[in-house]
Amino acid sequence: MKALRRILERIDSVVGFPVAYAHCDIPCGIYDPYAAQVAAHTVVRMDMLIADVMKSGAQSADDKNKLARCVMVKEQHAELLKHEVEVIWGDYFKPEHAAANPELHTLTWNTLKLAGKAKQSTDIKTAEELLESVEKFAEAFWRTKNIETARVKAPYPTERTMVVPKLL
Amino acid sequence: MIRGALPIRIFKVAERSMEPAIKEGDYVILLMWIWKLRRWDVVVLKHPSKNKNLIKRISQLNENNIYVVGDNRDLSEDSRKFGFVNKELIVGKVLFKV
Repeated sequence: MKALRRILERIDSVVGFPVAYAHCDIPCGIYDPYAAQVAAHTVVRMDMLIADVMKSGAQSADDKNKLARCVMVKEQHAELLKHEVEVIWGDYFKPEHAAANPELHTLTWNTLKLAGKAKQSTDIKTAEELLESVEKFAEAFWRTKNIETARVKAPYPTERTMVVPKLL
Repeated sequence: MIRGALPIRIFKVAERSMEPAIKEGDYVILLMWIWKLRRWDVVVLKHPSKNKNLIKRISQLNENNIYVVGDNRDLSEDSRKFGFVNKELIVGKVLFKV
């Protein structure tokens, strides 16, 4: 092997072999729209629970306590969703992704707007619009990685869908 | 998959993300006529967005795409960053290093 290596080094010094880069980088590059989708499901679920409490009249202290907690969790998860979407938008997406997906900026902007609207509202239709927008965002994300996706029924009481990558 | 007229090519390795198996400065002999790819094969492939060739190990593969990683995970830029890549980007399969 040593003799072969010496021969290759000599040839390399004359003709120059092409280079294959092992290519090192420090940033971890781990991004996933999964957390944003879970947050959107949480917003939907909180609106469902709020509707249940309101149907009962929300008279007792326990009802009012539950109502306050649901609103608080809805607020937190809508904010979490905005953070997750903003990180992918700002840190992961590159100009070539936007060029290949012309709807990307509008989709992101609409998703953030809908998250704000979902905070202001307890209308489940608003939460559903938010979830739909986040699913489209997730599909756009995986498209940039050339990974197919599927909308599957999420294993949550919301009984709605979520986007998952087909990794195998 | 037949990549070019010659059945083998030689590449020189730069950078360290395939250590300890393949070190910077090693030469790799590539098989250009590939009949079968297996998980853990080492391949040279075109970077999906940059004009350079990479050397990585196949971690997952399906009919059309491969997921590649560097052996030295702490240092490697690979499919964890740029995702699955089409098999068309494979330049050749590493037979052995010198």
